[in-house]
Amino acid sequence: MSIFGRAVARMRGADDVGIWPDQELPVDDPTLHCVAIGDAPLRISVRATGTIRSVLMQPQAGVPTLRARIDDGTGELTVTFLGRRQIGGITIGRAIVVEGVIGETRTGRQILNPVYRLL
Amino acid sequence: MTATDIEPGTPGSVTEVFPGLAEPLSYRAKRRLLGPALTTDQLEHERLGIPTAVAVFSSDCISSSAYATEEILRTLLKIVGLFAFSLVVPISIAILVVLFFLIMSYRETIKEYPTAGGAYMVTRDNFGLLPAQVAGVSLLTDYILTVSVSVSAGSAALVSLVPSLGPYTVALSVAFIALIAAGNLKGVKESGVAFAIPTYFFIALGFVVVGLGIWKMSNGNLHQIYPGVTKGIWPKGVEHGIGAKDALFYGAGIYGVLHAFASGGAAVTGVEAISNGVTAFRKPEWVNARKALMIMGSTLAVLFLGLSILATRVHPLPFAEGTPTVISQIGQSVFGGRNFMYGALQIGTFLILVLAANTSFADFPRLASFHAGDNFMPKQLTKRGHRLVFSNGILALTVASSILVVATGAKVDTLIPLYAIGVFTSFTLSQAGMAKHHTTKKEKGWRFGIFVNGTGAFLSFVVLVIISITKFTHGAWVIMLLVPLFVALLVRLNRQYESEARELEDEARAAAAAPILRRHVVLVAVDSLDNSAARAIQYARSLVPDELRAVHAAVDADVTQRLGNEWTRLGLSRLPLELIECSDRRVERSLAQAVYREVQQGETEVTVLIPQRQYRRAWHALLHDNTSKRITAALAGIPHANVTIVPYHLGSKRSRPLLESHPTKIDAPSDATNGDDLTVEITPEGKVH
Repeated sequence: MSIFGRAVARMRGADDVGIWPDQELPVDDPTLHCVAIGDAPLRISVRATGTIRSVLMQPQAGVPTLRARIDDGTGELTVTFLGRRQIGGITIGRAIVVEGVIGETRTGRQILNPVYRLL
Repeated sequence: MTATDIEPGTPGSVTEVFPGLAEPLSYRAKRRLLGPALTTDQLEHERLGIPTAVAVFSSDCISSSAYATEEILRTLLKIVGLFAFSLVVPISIAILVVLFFLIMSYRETIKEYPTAGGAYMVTRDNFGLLPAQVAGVSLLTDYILTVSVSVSAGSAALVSLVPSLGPYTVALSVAFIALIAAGNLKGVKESGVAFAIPTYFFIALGFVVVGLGIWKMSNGNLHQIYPGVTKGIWPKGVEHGIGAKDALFYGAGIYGVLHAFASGGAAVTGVEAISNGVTAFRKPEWVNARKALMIMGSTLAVLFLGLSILATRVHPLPFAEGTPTVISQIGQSVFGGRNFMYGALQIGTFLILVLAANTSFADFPRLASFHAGDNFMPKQLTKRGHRLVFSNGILALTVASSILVVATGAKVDTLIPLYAIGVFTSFTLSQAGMAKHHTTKKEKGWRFGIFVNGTGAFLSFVVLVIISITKFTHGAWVIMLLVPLFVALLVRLNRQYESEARELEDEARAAAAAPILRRHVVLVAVDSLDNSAARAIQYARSLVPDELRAVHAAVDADVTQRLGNEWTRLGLSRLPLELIECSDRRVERSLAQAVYREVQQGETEVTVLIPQRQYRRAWHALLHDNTSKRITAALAGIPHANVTIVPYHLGSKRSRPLLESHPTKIDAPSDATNGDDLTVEITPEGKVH
């Protein structure tokens, strides 16, 4: 079984993991080939999916940055969009697929300026 | 606030000095009810002379004479009928022998332990903490009973005088307890005269009754109150005309006599009051206390014995309803009817019984505070209240004794079997403790001390055993069950307190010098962009944490959307807004999760700023759900999560951010960047390592 297949299988049975365990996972589509955030490989481009749990917005005087934290039940991933204050559709509760290189920082896993698709 | 705002205030009142610090309504009501707060240095200023001290401390003891004879008769009449009147004097004398030795013993205690504390301290010093708990708890239960018994007996005296009050006995008793409690919360210590008048009034009247009665008796002028009625009361199988001695063999038996003795044992309760309060006497304390003790003891002896002697002639009957009381029947006979003197005697009896309850109100809270001071009772009991009295102890006693009065229907004879066990337990322990004290210290006159205290301990123990056996089925079992249970409870409490104290003190110094956590994050809880949030933001900008951001739990999508839009127009550079999911609408839970996310690495200290609206009137608060309080409670469970409450005072201009003097950046985005001079903190952390 490929890494993706395993991830998806895991996503399906991962209801009891994470902070909001009662909720259904947003994506149940094996064709997406997403990795599980919890054990996604670093430093290579991957695709991940999840629900947006929080959005961090800057006031006008700050450096334009939009950050969102997504969660797929196996772990959490922060996606940062530089140069943007708001992106239509990046709101709490939306499901999203992001693609990029995951880096590990002190505050958790991050992707900078990912390619994204709202679901 | 300008200087002219400050009005000259009364000393000791904070309100007048700082007009902004308004006292809450509850405190103002308390001041109105209880008077101004007493300052701590007003404590224990007043020392009592012997006459006042006798009045203050002896009411409990002397008042026993008002019901002791009655209780002996009540027990005896059931068993031996008419012979009760022949047996009452011997039994009274036996009780007085016990009283004599107790007083001699307490003379020693007063000398050796002139500090406050009485039985508890003596037992603790000589036997250790656990026996002291037994002594203390026994005494505490007895103080509760003293209140119930005295107030019930006092109400009975009143009802004897005004029989139409009969149906309201329970209500009256509870009202008296409440009244005494109120007086004690107010601190009636200074009113020695208030004690002296009723006590001496009763003593004087008691002497008049006894003196006049015995004089009439010797002249043959004293008659039975219910002529002929008592003639018919014969125990089964007893022939007419048998003397008291034979009665022992016929109806009474040793058991019955002992039972009556146990009932009358209530008479000596209250002897310990003086030894509990030696510190209140004028110097030299122990000498004066001893004199007061002797006065008290002899007064009780004269009244009790006198009334018992008169009872042999008057043949008063203890009624099932408790009224009219035996002492009132004796008074009626002696004074020749329900006249003015009879009324005075009833009022005197009533007053001293109520005062007796008051003695307990002085002793119970103090004893409880000793327990609490040794970590055996809730710490709240050590706290002196508004008027320097142990308010919580007073309230506890009020509640406990009221429950007891209501449960027993304010019937003295139901309460009496519960009574006196506790006192004799503590007598036994404290006298044995004194005997041990003498053997270890071997001070001057220690042999005499051992004799006196040893006899005291032995007699108390004998009485304790008699009471326990004879009254067991009548209700004494309740106390014998409750006291060990309570002691067990206190020991459990103590274990808890000790372990808490150990944990709190463990390496506290090293912990204070421990290195600080590496990171400090400040989160401002924001509901919407209103003035209370603005206050919190204003305050947050005065802090210099490693990271600062506002947090909003998205309960309502529209509200969140609006806040987000407003926020992006806001001209602050270092205050991003985090919108967090809150799909189950539990704001406090979402915030707690957000905070937990920060602290879980173990290297971050989080401060959460919570804007809290302060309402001018209590009912205003009812119009809102107190989300901020729930948030505070939810965050309390997270280590290194620190909550700062930022108040916003509704209806008060002072609370708002001062727009004139500090041009704030709210709604003024143009001059934002130069106004907020701190560097941008939130750098994108998306760098891939």
